[in-house]
Amino acid sequence: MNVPELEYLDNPMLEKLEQEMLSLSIKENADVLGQFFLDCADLVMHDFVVSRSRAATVFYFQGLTDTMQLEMQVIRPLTTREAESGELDSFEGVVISNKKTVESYGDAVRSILTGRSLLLIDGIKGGLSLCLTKFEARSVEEPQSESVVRGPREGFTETLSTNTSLLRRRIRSSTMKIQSFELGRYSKTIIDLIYIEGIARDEIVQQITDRLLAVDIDGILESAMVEEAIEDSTFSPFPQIQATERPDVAVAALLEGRIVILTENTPIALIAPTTLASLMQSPEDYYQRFWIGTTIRWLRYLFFFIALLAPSVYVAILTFHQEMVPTTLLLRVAQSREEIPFPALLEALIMEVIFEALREAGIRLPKQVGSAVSIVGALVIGQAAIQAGLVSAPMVMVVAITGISSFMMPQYPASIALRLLRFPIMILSGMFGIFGLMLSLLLIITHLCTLHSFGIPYLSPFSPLRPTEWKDSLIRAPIKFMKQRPGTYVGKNKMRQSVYAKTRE
Amino acid sequence: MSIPIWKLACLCLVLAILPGCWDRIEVNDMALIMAVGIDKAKNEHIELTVQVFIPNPSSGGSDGGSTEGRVYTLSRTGMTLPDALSVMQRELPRTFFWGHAKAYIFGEALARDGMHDQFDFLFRDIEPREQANIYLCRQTAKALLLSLSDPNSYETLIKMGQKRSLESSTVINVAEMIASESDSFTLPIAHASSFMSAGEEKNILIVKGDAIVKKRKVVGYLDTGMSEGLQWFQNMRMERNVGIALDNSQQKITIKLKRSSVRVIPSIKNGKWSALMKLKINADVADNATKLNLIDKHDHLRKIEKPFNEMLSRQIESAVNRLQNQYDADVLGLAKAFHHKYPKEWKQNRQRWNEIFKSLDIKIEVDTIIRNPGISNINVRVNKGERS
Repeated sequence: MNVPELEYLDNPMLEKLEQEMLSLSIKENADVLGQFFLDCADLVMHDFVVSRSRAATVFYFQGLTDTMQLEMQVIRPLTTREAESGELDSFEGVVISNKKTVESYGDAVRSILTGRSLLLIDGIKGGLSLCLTKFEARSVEEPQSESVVRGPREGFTETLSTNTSLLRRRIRSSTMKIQSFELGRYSKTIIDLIYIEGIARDEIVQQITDRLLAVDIDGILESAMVEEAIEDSTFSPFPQIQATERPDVAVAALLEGRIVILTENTPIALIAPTTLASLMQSPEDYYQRFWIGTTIRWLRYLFFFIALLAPSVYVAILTFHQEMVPTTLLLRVAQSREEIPFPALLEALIMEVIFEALREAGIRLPKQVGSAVSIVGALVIGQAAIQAGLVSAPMVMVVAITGISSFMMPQYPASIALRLLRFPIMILSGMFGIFGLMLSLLLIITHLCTLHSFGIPYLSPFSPLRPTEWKDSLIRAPIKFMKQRPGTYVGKNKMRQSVYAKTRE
Repeated sequence: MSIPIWKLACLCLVLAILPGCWDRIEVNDMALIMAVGIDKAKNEHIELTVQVFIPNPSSGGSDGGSTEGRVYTLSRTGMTLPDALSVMQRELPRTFFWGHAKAYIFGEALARDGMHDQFDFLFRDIEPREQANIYLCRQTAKALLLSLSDPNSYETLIKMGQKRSLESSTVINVAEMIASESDSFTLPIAHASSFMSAGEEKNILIVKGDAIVKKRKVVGYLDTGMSEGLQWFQNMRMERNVGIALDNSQQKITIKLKRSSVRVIPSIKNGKWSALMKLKINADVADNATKLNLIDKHDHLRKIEKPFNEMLSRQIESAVNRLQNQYDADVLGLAKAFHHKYPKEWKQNRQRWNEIFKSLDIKIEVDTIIRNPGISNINVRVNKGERS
């Protein structure tokens, strides 16, 4: 690449040095590397003597290396090695399986930065990069944001190698391919692109690869940044890439022909392409009996609309279409609204905003304070508000139902989209009644129809129509009957089960 | 020419916000009309009485006690019905809302004179609801509405509107009848009736009896016998028990009607118009005070069907006879049946329908099927060992 590495913008000398080969003299090498790592207090340079005659140095970062192993497997055998001719010119005696030699200063610097240890011996060309990486990491825990009653309790962690191992343990096939990318000029985050060859469609893999390669950013802190960098439509409120914390969800996606993107230092994996229907699926749908899975899924579809529309319908009907409610209900509502000083629209907006604020506060606050917030919050949008005559009781119910139904979305990003879209719909229906409501619904549907995720229409299988795939979108058919992989994503290998397989004699 | 996207967005926002919610009407700015009374006033004017519901503002809060609202009754006169309404609207701060009106009550004087203009408003204007019921009353509607002293009178009105047996008097049905061939129908009559409640006498609205309306004018009132005879042709009215005494003795048997259907078969033979009305009734035994054991092998259920058939056809016949001879009003919808079956003949004889109806040969056939003798068979009339 001819593009200058922006890392060394202030120091062209280092940029030049990067290309140069390591020298034979350990003193020179140490000097040069010292220039690269000037003021890096966490770098350890340990000098020792090999075979009582040659100077040697190991470089590593504190806290990233297993020092015990380094001492036992590298330094001790080298220092005690008998000086015999010939052996002196090699790194023999180092008993580490994952090692490689580096030639240039650039390679040396990069290998130290990835957490490996670099061994240099005076008079030997090149250096030895040893994988002795070990750092503090969270162990595999139950996923916090996607818990299930029945199903595996393992979740992804921040360590990439653990995450790939979790997937590899579930798919023991050489067709599961993992392509590695390095993203972020400074962070050099490793991104793994995982797919099953034959099931995933080649052009989608190619498309994601192309987009990943085009990313130029200084740092990747979370998979959300990858998501934003490669997604199709930046301005849409709907997530076009599914995020999950669960290896079983990721594997299910792989078997459908979708592609999983793992990012270093975050437990959240990305799944692309994504459709709206797949955002409405929860892993538990498949772990419960299919009647239950189907019913729960329908309930979720119902509450999808309630979360989106309930306050708007309430506002529209109460301000414009009073004849649409049964008389007794209207009289009840009229009684409770009689003293309320605000118009219905304002009342709804106030309550929804307060509810959103409470939810946000509840998430962000430390756990000890959190309970205080929920108590105060329950008072604010509950009984106290009604007693103070600021808000009518039906409105509190509507807000509460809306809140609960937005929690029913199995995918958190999808529920955020609904929470957000609720407000413009509410305002439009407050101004134009049901007409405004329909208008905004039409806008949303139009938008959803134009939305694509890596070439896959977002509303598939409803639009374009693929009735055979309704088996896993409209209902959750018994697994016996889902013999084909969803044709929306799948490549060459279309069958899940043999068509002729007899389930039972 | 290209407008920057942000300017366009601003324009949209402004366009949306400027008109705002100008035509919104909050529920708390409304006076919900529950019942409307329409009377004749002096000088060809109309007196409009409305009963509006205004929610009780003092309620709310934790006690949840007196949550019922208040019902106000007020009346004004005007040239026409909408005119009287606008007079009323001018004086009051709350907007009148017709969407939930449950009853339109016509005073007798107006009903006798003809209700053309008022029907026109009810059918034409967008606000009055088609599901509301139209009633007549034997006094002025104003007096009737004012006499209702029960605080829950709106409840009564709502329940009344849900009653299946009153479905034929809804605005939409009345509109259909007026547009139909015979232009005659019946309307229920509303009365105030007093009930005791917590030691006080309260007047609530009840519906009793029917009036015959022909060409939008009341031509007469049905007595109970006639009303019962005619009810069979309005399929909805099914909450009836019919009792009969067998063999002229004191032993009575009562059946509860479950379902009934009427078929009208018109025929024109050699220029002679006649109609056959087939009434089919499904019923259960409600009360058996005879000595008959209804579930033994003799199958008495079939035997008791016959007296019911005879009694009912007698009842209906007399009602139909009086319709033909006394009121000359085809409330049975026979004209429609003839029109359907004999469109050509109908076209020629449309003008003569009144004469034809008067001399129409109407046959009645009743077929009662009693299905269920009841859930227990303890015959309280029979002494032990005396079972037949």
